[in-house]
Amino acid sequence: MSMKKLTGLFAAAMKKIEAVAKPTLVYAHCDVPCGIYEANTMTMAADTVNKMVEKIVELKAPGADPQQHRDFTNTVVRMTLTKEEWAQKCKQELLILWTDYFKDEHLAKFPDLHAKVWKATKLCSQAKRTVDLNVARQLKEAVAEIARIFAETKK
Amino acid sequence: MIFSRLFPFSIHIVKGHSMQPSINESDRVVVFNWAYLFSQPKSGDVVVFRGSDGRGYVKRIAAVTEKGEFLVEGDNKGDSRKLPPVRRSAIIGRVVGKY
Repeated sequence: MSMKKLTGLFAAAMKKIEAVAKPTLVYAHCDVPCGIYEANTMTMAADTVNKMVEKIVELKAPGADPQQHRDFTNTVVRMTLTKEEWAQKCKQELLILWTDYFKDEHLAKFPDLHAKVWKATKLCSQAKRTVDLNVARQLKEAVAEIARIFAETKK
Repeated sequence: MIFSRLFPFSIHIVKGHSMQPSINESDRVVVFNWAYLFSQPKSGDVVVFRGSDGRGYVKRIAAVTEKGEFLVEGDNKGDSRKLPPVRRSAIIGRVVGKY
């Protein structure tokens, strides 16, 4: 049986099924919820970056055994990859709030908002480049501060 | 849509572009409504859920929050805007096929 015939049979069968079980619409866009923002994702992302840095710092150096060396390298790569991904996600979430959510009235109430977002996004990049507990903590604090401002604007 | 859960499968027509390239506008998706009877939704699952406006949405689960809610997003990052976290009870089922 040719592929064309099979496709035709499938389409006919699905048409019959759809006649009985009417398909309903589901939306792959955000008509109504558009404009609804949250700060959970960036907070979780910053926490993840911080946790990964803590874990990398806590890792014990491998001994002379080649297998220990391989396992160690594998663990470091996995943790660094996770750090990289979540630092990028954190930056992306910060930029969404900055470009799409925060408005002039928010800026009037929090005049240093631009500087704070700029600093936090810079810290995301710094957290990618380094394994530095201080940077990771600063990122967590900077994101928490923007989350606090976000919450304030919702009151 | 609430009655969907009485049946193991349901079919839905997709409207919008936020799930491209995985799912295109006007695609039909087949949803397994009993997918989470004995298991929890996880990151990466494409799910149909009821939004706060009562309409059905199709999105991919990006992460699970500490409160056990689900952060969802579209595959088309250029057309995917922020949605509030989705509660477990709002999830209708998992997308298992499309045509």
